[in-house]
Amino acid sequence: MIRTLLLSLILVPCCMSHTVSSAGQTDFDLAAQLASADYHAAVLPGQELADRLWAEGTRRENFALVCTDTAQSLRVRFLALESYQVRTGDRPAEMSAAAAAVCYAYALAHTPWEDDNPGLSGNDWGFLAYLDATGDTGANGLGSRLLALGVPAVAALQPLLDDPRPVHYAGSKDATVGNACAYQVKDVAAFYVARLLDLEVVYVEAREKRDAVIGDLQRRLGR
Amino acid sequence: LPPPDFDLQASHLKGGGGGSGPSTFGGDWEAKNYSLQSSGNSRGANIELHFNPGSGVDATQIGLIQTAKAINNGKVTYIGDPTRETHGIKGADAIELDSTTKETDEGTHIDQLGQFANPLYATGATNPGDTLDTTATNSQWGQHGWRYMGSGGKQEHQEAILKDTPAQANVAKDSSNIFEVAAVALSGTQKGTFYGSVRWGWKTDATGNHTQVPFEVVSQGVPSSSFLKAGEMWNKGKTSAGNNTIDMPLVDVKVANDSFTPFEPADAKVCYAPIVKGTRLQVITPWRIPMQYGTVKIVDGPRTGDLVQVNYTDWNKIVDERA
Repeated sequence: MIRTLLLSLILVPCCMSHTVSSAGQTDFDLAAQLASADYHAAVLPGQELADRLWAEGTRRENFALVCTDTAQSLRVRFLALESYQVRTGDRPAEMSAAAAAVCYAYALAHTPWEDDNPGLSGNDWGFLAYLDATGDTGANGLGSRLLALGVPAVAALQPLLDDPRPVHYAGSKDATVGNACAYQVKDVAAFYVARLLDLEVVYVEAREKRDAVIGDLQRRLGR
Repeated sequence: LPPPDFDLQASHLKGGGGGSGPSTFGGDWEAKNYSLQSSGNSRGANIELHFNPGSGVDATQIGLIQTAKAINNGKVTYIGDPTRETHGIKGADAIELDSTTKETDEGTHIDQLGQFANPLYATGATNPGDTLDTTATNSQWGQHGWRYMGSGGKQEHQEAILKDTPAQANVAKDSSNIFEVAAVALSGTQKGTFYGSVRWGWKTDATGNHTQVPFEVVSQGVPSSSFLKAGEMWNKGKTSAGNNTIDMPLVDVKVANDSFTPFEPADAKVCYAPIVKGTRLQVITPWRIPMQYGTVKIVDGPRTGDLVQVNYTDWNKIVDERA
């Protein structure tokens, strides 16, 4: 009896790794792999881990369940949501825009290069308004998926309008260009809030002026 | 681009050699403020790279083009806009750079934002109708140089500069970012001529040591095969908005797969010293029946710029560099 129980404990996660139970339980194997994964390795098509986890779409529902399982960490839910969105072009039907926005706000709050960063950098959010004159949208893939959530995403971003931590850009010239902008988390949050609300966004070089604009935005949002 | 329609020889065009850095065919290089940067698990470097055109240079504009190759925890990676990956050398097209480590040039690409169409590092957004030499530069990223005789016999001279601060996160071990920078004449008499290339960058090893890549010459003239292949990818590529990129000059470089002695013709403006195996060459006049010889130019090494006439019996020793 004891032996059977132990085997069950060991086998259940393995059995669930490629299927969803009829009760719609979370795929714990998937969640566990996402928990320690790097954003780009876990999410972007063509990456070995990302392709293996997505398994040609056979785990689509598993990803959807992880996205909506509030027992999972926000890091895991964010990575599952991004994988789902990148592959399908939309969020799971069971997930509201506001709930999805919470995952993106988590990602932005963890973009500074600190120990709990899941592999994100400023590059993932784009150069914001810096290249507006070139016709660039300012938002990379990650940011464009946040914008697709619409106005319900604003509430999740609002607390980040106070966050002065630096956002670093990786790469070579990308890093040189992005880091010269000296963006803070609140600059990124403000850019996306403004875009979501269809407000005009212009690049302002001086941080003090940007902070003042963000303060004005906060007042308009009713704080 | 067709080969330049002038014959420069090494004796006409050498770096002054007076600077603190290395010299190439067309001038002297200097790495100012070359230093490592690290914070937490992020690693990188800073550099302000100067190219000082030598006395034999005759170009009204000289630009710097940089290739980048990034390794993140042992794997090739592309950082920034996804367009970069479309500009990189694919694994199937890569060649081995080091027979010991089996390192290849996969991932090498022109270092420019995906949004920008001009490959010159110091340039920014292009305007409609821009060409390689007309796109505005931004002093935060560098400047173009020049050296030519101006009106009234006044020597006009300016260094070309590249400013870079590469960085990656979560790369405390087994990672690197390595760059090759080439100087090329954009306009003037020597338009299209490469003046040499240098390497720089940073690495972390398996134990976490973070070191600078030695600042050294890659080529005396035409940049490396990896650089040229990345240039080919760039010229075929698009910007992130789907617009055509502006073509950079390329040279179809061949290599001598065995040593040979040049043909000695009656006229004497060419070099007769033996060509050693591995010499990089550009075909100027291909050999064809019933000609006695074809003409090539040495594009790397101490004899960069020398013209050589190759006997038809040796023409099969000139092969593609990436073959």
